Amino acid sequence: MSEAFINGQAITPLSGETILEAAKRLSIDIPTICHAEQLHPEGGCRICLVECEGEDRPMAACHSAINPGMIIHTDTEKVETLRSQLHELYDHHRHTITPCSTTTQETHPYLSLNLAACVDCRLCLNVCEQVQGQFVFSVSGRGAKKKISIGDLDTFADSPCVACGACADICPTDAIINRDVLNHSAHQKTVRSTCGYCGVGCQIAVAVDEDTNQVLSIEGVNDALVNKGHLCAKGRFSHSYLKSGDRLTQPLIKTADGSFKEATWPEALKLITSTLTQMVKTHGSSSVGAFTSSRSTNEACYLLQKFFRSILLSNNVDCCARVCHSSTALALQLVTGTGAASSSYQDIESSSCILVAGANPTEAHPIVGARIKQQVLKGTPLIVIDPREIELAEYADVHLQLIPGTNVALFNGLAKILHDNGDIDEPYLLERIENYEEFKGFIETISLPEIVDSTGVDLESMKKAASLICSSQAGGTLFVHGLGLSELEQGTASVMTLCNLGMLTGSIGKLGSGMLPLRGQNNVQGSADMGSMPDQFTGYQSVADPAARQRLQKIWGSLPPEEPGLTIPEMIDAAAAGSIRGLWIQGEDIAQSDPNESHVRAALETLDFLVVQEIFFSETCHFADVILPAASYLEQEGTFTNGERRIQHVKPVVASPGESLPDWLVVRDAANLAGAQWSYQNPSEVMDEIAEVAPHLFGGVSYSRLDQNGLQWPCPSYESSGTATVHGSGFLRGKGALTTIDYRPSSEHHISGYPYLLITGRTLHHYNVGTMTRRSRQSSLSSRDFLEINPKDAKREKIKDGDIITVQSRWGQIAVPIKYSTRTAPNTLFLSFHFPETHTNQLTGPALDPMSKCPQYKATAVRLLV
Amino acid sequence: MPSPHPPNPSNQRQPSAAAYRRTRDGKEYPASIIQQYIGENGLPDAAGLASLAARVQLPESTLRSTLSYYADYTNKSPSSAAHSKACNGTSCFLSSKDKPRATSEATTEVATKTTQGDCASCLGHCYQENNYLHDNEVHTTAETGEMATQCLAPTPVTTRRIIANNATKPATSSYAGLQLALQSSPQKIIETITNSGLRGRGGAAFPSGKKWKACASTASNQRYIIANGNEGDAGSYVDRVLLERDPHSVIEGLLIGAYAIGASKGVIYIRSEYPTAARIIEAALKEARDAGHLKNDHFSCEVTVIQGAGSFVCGEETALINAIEGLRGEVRLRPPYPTESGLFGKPTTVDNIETLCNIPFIIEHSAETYKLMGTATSSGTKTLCFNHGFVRPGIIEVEFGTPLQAAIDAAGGSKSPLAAILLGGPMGCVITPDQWDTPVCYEAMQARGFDLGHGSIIALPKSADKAALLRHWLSFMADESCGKCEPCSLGSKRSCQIVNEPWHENSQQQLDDLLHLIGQTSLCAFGREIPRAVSQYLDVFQDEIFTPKSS
Repeated sequence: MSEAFINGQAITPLSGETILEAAKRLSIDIPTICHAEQLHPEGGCRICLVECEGEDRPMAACHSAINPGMIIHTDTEKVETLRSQLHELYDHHRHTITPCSTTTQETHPYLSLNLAACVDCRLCLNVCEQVQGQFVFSVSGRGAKKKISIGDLDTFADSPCVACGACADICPTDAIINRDVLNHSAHQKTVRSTCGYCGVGCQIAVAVDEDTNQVLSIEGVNDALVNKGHLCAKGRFSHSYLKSGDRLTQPLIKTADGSFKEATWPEALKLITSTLTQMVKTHGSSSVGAFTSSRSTNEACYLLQKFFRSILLSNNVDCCARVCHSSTALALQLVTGTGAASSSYQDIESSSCILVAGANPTEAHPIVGARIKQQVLKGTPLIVIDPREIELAEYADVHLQLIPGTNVALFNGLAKILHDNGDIDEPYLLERIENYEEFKGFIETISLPEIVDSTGVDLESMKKAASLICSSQAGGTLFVHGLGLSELEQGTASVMTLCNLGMLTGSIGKLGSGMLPLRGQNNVQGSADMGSMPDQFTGYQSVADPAARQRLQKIWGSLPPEEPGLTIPEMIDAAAAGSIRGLWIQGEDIAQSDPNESHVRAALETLDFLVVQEIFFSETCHFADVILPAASYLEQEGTFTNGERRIQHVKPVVASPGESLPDWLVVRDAANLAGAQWSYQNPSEVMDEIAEVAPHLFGGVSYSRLDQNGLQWPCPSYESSGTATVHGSGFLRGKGALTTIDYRPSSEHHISGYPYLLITGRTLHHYNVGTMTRRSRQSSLSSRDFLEINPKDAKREKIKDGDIITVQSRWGQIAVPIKYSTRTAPNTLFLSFHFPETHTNQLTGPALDPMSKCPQYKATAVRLLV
Repeated sequence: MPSPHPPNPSNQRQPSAAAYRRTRDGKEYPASIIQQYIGENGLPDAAGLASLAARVQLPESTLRSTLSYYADYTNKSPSSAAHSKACNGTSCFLSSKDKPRATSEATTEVATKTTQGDCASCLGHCYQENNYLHDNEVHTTAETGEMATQCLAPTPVTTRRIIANNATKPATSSYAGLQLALQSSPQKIIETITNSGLRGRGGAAFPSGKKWKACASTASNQRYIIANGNEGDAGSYVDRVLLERDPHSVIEGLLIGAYAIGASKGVIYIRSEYPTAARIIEAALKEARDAGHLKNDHFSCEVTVIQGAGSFVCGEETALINAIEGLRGEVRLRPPYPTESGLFGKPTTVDNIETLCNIPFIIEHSAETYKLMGTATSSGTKTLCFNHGFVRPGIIEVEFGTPLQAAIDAAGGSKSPLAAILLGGPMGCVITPDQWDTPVCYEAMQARGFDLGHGSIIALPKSADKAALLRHWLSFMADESCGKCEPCSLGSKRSCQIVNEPWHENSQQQLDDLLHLIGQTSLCAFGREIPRAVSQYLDVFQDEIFTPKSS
């Protein structure tokens, strides 16, 4: 007999299934308190007891296996009586214990602990350990005296809590209060959408009060593949910026005296289109340019680059992928054929070995960071390659703490060790890679002592790392990387040499392994996908490719030249030189975020005409001629594409304030004023055109097919359900290519008089230039940027924790407070750029990757003036 | 200068949280590290907690949970050796009210300390009364009792070296059993033990060969064998006697087991209430190591002695494993069973001390010889222990199938008329004199509704205050309940409340219902069996207990 029975219904148990799981499949509800699907069974509340014929005692459904032959009853009088008696017991206990504290603590901006309401189900502790991996909670005492506690003081504020909010979500009582959640209202709806912070692309469920147009709460969506109900402090809590008093609500036009006056949309758009078209007539198409917003939707990016290309006939379109993962995209495109991740986030849970290089996921991509942490806690080996001792380094089997910018050397060294040990996938190399022989010759030229010298990493550690890197026969390795590789002069080379390791181990194109760059912005992947690049149309089709031009001619009507346009850094140089006179900057604050701040500001000053499309009056807005108020991600419809190529639906939740409008709509209307005759009624129609324009990647994408988990491109047709693992049956470029390139110190290395290498980057609490997070309660967790310095270096410089000191590079100087950090290696410094008053990018300079044009944010020569 | 800014948690050092998973491969057992730290420093402050957490490779929050769980840690001060602990076990409880305190200074100190509640349950010296622990040794405020050692079985097994020896120092051993085992194969050893019918003596009575086989069959690069010396049943002291008087049999049994299941590491877990036993087994282990028994050409097993920290529930195998891992001594959900996933997730067998002492005999004399003794389902012998309520208290080894009466007679009968004997500790049963013909045998006893448990026998005089014993029994349950599941932790406390309030007409029903609830819904044997035993006790003595004057 293969069946079991629950309340008379037959069911064939699945291997390893519990009674509770089987009951769920039969839609039979068994009550629980301490149980949650995403957690291991706790087995403490005993409410889920059921009777099984032949057993002398009831069984706990949550952790008892269901086997063929079992006859189970979930609602007999016996179990119902036991359950109600248990409830009585629990209630009696709650009424007799003295609560430890009667006032709700408010030391933390979002979370409060109210132990008087606690039922000791341990869901908070379990979700904190098993999902987020933060280990905040303890169980104190024994027997009836046990209680949940946090540290010594039972406060979130002084604990390792990162405010992900998972505990508040899962708590069945008021014991953990999420103070961000407002009360239910009479007219309330919940809308599912996609988070607009980072490139992970979590699915959010936003509850909104329809009467007051206010967000009541944001929760994770449990069945979403990307985040499975989990969120981070930014996505969950940092939304009060929506209602910030300084939102832009009206189009603004700069007057003669430099101040801004309110204007109507027709006025503003007319000014823009007439100025730009006139500029093109007089000075040529190359005198104008556009930066599409990597925070905005695919549809908005697509239309802006289409406007500039097909109406103004200019290829000067770019997006902030340029200054972040352009090296990654170029590298991957060159060696694999697709400039995007070959793997998906799900590969984390199938991985046999994870290598994280130049990324700090637990701070910058918290949900992915948590998933990596959990996989590693289960025993998967982890190698961390980073100049800083990031949180994940503490979980790693080996941390290669290299000198900033020396990745090419380190990866070449690892390649040599792997190859010499025979830890490679020869059949894969012979079958799928085109230049293995040549590469073997290159390997022989690599000198490990030189590598040790260049990188500062000892040979033993390198060997240990190599011994852990799994070849495909043992499951392959998942290579996760971030801006630490890309934002360097040898950025493209860094990613290409990392791909060498992916190819040597046969990891690319298999489940549980491959290349997984963590894209930064919520839609930087999408922005690039949409053709926001000077040399490529939508879908990475070269602007010179005849087939692409033919197709686009039909759809667009007119085309820009075959010559590529300028990248962002080149456009800024050109603006400074006066050859670019007009720019449309959509949702990017280049005055704060681009390198070499003085140069950027000078360039913006020089421009004749600047349009800025923004939600707040940013640093860049100071230089604008026209400012267009934009809708945020909770206020418009469209799609975002996350770092695993997943196109997900974005839905409006609240109305945008004042006269602000969705980006796509503004661009459409501007283009039409310039004679475009675009008739898109909604973003869905824009996506339909995108599918036509780049069918090889997006042919099967349409809003009707996006449903719950979106679609991962390539999705070439309606028969396709998207692609999780790319290059599965061979590289998209035909065969993969190994890269033979040596390490070369950058123009910021070995600068006499400037003994430190400065790394700029991000912290957990704030997002990028802080536009949104500085206007939410995140600021009470972190209210300024600190220069992180190794205590030994600080003591040598005779500076104390908290001192304000001057930091100088060859490009500029700033004053900033320091913070002692043992995570920072000697002779390196770390500085975030979340607060405009820090002027972090005064320090960064013109160093660029010549191939990708990506700036070197990750290594700038500086000195300290004490 | 800016004002200090709250620490950014993402920059705080948390090496302990990070290395959590590597507890799985730890070289030193977390429990040993924690014990040593607390022994030297007392409970840690914030900085100490961070560094201790790093050493045991656990998150700080987890370590806090652990430190708050164990009785030994929650009252710790650096000069703990000077602390006295009075025995609060059932045997001493049943006598302490009647005996006067002795007058020496040390004992007056004990008297004061016991009123402050620094007790232990139990110290395992039940053959004498009014025991207390001071300076790592057990003393008594009454006369020091003599412990008899007898064997009624045709061939002594566990008492074979103790009877011959005069108890001045531990028995020696040639490890002949181990030598024989090493000449055979692990599979054959497991077969032999299986054929012998040996069952776990700690109380669960699970067939030892079956357990060893399950462990040996789980593929793994590492297995563990653990000797369970957490003999916590009040009234039980057989394991302590074996550890102190015949440590080498314990070690030999462990090593044979290690060989059979393929365990290269072994642990002998001894409760902290048995400091002498721990000292003696450590010394014996050193002798065995020096003699080359732990490591030679055929076989190698590293054995570590780990001390408990004051938790009865840690006698349960999964709670014991949690304790070694530096976690709270709470019971784990099963499956997976320890033979599949035990210490640090590796296949593990946990065997009782008395069980292990049977192993060398079986190997030396054969399974068939062993099976000649006992009954069809319970083969071999069981060592019972009698408390001071009997004329000749001490341990008595009997063949399974021997009627209880025969053992009671060998113990000289009771000193005063008995209402019943308490067999098998708090999770055991009550047996009135009309049932003393019950054979000592798992099945035969179960058939009569009795539980042999670990075989401790406490005299319950007719004159004993039955209601007081009830209160004592339930307060033991409430103290020791681990807290993992609600019915036991909350229910035990509630039952104490009920029995400490004046009786009313519903008290008995309330108590019965509550005990039934706890017994039906609890997660582990502790929560299932204590209520059963108390219910049986209530059944026998309800008239005496529920009269108004007994409240």
